[in-house]
Amino acid sequence: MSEGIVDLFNMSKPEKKKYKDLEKELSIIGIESPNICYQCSKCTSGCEAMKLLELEPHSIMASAKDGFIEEIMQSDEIWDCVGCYKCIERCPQKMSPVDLMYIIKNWCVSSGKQLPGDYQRLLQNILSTGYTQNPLDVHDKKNNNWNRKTLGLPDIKTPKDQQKFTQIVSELAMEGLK
Amino acid sequence: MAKVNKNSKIGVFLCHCGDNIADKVNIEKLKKDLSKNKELIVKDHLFLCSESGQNLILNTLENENIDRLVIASCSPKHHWNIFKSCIQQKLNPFMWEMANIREHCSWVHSDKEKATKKAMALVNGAIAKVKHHKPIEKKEISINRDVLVIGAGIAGMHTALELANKDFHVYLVEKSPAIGGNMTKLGRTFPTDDCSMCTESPIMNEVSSHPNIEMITLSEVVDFSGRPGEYIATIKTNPRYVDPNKCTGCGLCTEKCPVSISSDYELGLKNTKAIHIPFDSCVPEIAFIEPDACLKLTKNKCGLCEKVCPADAINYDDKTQTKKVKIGAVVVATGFKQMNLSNTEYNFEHPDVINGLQLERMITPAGPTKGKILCPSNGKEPETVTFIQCAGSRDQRHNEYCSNICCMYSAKNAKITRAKIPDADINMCYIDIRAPGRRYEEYYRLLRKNNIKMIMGKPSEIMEDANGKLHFDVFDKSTNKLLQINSDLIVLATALEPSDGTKKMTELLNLPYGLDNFISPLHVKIAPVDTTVEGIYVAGTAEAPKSIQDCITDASSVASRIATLLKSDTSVIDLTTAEINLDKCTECGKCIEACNYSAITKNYEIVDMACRGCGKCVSICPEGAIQIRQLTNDQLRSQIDGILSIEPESIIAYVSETCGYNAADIAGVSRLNYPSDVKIVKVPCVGRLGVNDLLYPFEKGAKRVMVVACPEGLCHYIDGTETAEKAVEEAKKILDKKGISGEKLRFVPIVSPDGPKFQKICQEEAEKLRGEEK
Repeated sequence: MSEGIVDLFNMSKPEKKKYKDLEKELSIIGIESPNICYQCSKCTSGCEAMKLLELEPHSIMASAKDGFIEEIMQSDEIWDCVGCYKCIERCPQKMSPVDLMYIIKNWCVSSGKQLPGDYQRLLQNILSTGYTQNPLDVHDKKNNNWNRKTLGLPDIKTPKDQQKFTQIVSELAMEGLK
Repeated sequence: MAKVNKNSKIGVFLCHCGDNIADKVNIEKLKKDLSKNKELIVKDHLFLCSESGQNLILNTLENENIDRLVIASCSPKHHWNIFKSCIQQKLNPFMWEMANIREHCSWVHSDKEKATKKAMALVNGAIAKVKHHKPIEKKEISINRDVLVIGAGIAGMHTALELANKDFHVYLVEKSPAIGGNMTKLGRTFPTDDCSMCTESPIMNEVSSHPNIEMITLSEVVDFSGRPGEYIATIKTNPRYVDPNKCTGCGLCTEKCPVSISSDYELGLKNTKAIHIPFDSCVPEIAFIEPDACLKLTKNKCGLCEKVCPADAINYDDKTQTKKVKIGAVVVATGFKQMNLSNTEYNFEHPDVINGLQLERMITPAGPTKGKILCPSNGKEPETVTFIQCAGSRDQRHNEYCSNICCMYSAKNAKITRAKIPDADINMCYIDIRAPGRRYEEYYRLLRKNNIKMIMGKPSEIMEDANGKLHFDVFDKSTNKLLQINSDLIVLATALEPSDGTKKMTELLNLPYGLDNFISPLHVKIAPVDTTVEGIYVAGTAEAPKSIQDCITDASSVASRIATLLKSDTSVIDLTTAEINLDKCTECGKCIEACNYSAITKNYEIVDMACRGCGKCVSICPEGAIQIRQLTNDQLRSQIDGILSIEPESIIAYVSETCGYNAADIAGVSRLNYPSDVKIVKVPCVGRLGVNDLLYPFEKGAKRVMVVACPEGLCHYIDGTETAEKAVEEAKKILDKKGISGEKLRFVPIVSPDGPKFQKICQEEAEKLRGEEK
C-alpha cells in the first residue's frame, strides 16, 4: 500500500529491522528506546567532539530514530566521539547517544568497514603506549585548571619493553573478537 | 455649585506621622496659617491613625459643627479604610478627603520650606474639593436569583449543576436537540484515557433530572435586556415534531424513514435519517425531525414515521415557541467549533485528510466505524497514519493563537492508533510539543514510548498522486533531512474557533471579544470568568480553547461568582457611579457607545449595578451632562484652584488611581526626591479626563501638566488610557493654537512599581520649567 518515508536527498528508506536491533541492544544495557529522545540537543551542546569535530549526537539520535542507520554507519562522524559519557550523564530523558554510537561502531567493525584514519592512529597509540593520547590539562566549570599533578595522581607509566607490550595488547584485542 | 451650610465648618486634621511628615513639613506653621480661615477647624496629632488620633477626629466631630473634613496624612492606599470607618460613625462615609503629604510630599522633598508650602497647597486643594462633596448614598437593588446558562456542553452543564446544588433555579438553554456538546463526540480523553461518555453521561443524567434545572433543548436566546440582577431573556424553541413526553426512544421511526441524510453529529462520516435520535445514550433520548430533509414537512408526502410510531409521538404541527425568562445572571458557555481548512494547503477536501474530532468519532465504539480507524476513501485500515499539528493555529494567516489542547489530544489519538493498529507507521509532524499541566509531560513521554515518529517540522502542502494516494514532503529539523512521507490517513490538529453561537451571543449581549473572536474576560489574569457586563460570565471554550478540566474549573469559578452576586434578594451598593442631568443631555449617544460596561441604557438611565465609576462617559460627553458622583467637574476643578491659589506656578500631574498613584507612592516610599513643583491630582482612570480638564490647569496658571496613566493594555477600565491619549493629542493642538505650546502637556504611561520613572518624569518636567523661567 504505502511506501512510508523516503529521504529525498539520497532516496534511502528507513531500515526498520536495524532499528529494532538497535533498540534491543540498548535495552540489554538498560537504555530505553531512542524514540523517547525529544531532541532538546543538550547532548550536542555539551559534546566535547562537537567543539573540535562537529559531532552532533542529537542529530545521530534523530537519524537513528527515523531508521536511517546505514547512513550513520557510512559517515565518519560517530568515530569522532571520545567517549567522555557527558551526554548520558546530562540527558534529561536518560538516553545515551554514546552507547548508541558504540553499538553502531561495533556493527561497523563486525561488517569489516574501513575505519577512519584518525581513529586508526588512535588505535596505534593504544597498541604502543596503552593510551589514546598523552593526558592533557582540563578546566572545570569555574575555570580552574587541573592536571594529574594538581589532582595528586601519579605520573603516567610507559611500557618498558615496547615490542612485548604491543604483542600483549594485540593478543588481548584479538581475544575480544573471538 | 454645591451649597455649603454657612454655619457648618470643615475639619482639617494634620498628622505628624511621628516625624515622617513633621520632619519636612512644618505642621505648626501649617496649622497656624490654616487656622486663620474661620471656615476651618484645624487639629493635629502625632499619629492620627492611632486610637487616640481617631478619638480626636470623633470628638471633634461630636463637639464641633462640622459636616465634612480633610485628613492630611499618608497615602489613602494605607489608611483610607481606617479613617472611613471612623468617620462613618458620625458622617456620610464619603464626606471627607485625604491629602497625601507623606509619600507625595515629606518623603520626596528635602527643603523644609518648599515641602511645607507644597503641603499647604495640597491641603488647600483638598479643602476646596471637599467643599463640593455631597453625601453619596447607598441604593438597594432588587435581585432575581434565577440564572440563565447558555450552552449545555461540559462547561454549561457543570455550571448549571454547581448553581442548582446551591439552590439557584437554572435555565439551561441548548441549541441542539440533545445536551452534552462536543465532549459527547470524543472517544477518549487525556490524560486519563478514559472514555468520554463514561465521564459525561452521569453529568448529563444529573442535569436532566435535577429539580432546580430547567433544560431547554433546540433553543436559542434571541433577545436580551435588563440590568444586572434583573435581566430578561427571550428564548426561542424550535419545533422537534416529536412529543418528548410520549417518545420512548425506540428508534422504529428512524428504521422506517426513507430519507437518508449526512449526519452532522458524525461529522460527515456516517449517514442518518431525517427523523433520528441524535446519538446513543443522548439526553434527552428522544427523536427529532430535520425539517429541511423530511418529506412530510417539505412536500407533504410520506408520513411513515407517524404511522409506525407505537407511542403516537409524532407531531408534524409542532410550532416554534418563545418565552421570556427573568434572571439575575447569565453564563455564556457556547463553546467552540473546528476551523474549516477547506481550500488550504492541507488538502482537507481529500476524504483521507480528517480532523482530530473526526478521528475521535472513529475511536468511539458507538461511532460510525464501530471503533475502527479506517480510511474514509476505501474503508480499509491505514498502514501509515500521520498527525499534523498546529493546522490553522499559530498561523498569522488564520488564527494567531495556540489552540491549547491539540498537542495533548493528538498524543492521545496517536497512542490509541498505536493500540488499535499495532503495526502501523505513525508519524507526528510538529513545531514544538506543549504539555504544561498535571500529568501532561509524563503523558508526552508515554507517547514517545509508543514508537511514534516525531518529526520536527511541518509539511508545506499535502499532495495526492495519480491514484489519489496522499503524500507530502517535510524537512525534519532534527536530522536536516527532507523526507517524503506517504500516508494513508492524515489527521489534522485543526484550530479551535469560537462557535457560531459564541459569536451570536457576543453580539446579542454586547460582550467584548478579541481579535480571535473569543469572548474577552474582564481581566485575563484576575477576573478570568467575568465579562465587562456585570452579571454576565463566560465559561469554557467560548473564552478560549481549553481542556475539559479547565472548563470544569471555569464552571465552578463562575458558579461561585454568581453565588456572590445573587446571594440575597436585594443588593446594597454605594452610588459611586455616574449620573445624567437629562436637562443638559442632547441624547447624542456618545456615552452609550463609550461605556465599556453597558451601564447606560438607550433611555439614558444609569445602570448603577453595572457602572464602575471610571468616568470615561464624563470625558466623552460634549454637554457636560454626565458626572461621576465621586469626582465631579466642580470637585476636580476646585481642587486645582485650591492648589494653584497657594502655588500658582505648579506642574499638575493627573495620575490614574491605580498605576500612576501607586508609582508616585513607590517614589515616596523609596525616598526618590523630585522638585516640589509637581502636585499630584488623583482621578479614578485617566479616561475621566476630557480636553477641558486638561486645559483647565493652564487657564488657572499652571506651568505644565502631566497625565500619568496605566500603560495601554493594562488600563483597569479597558481603554481609558487610549481615551486619555486621544484627549491629550487634541488638547496639545489647542494649546499650540493658543500659543502656549502643546509640549507643556505630557502623556506618560507608567506601571505601578515604577517609582524611579515617576521621579524621572517629575525631574524632567521641573527642569523644563526652569528652562522656561530663564
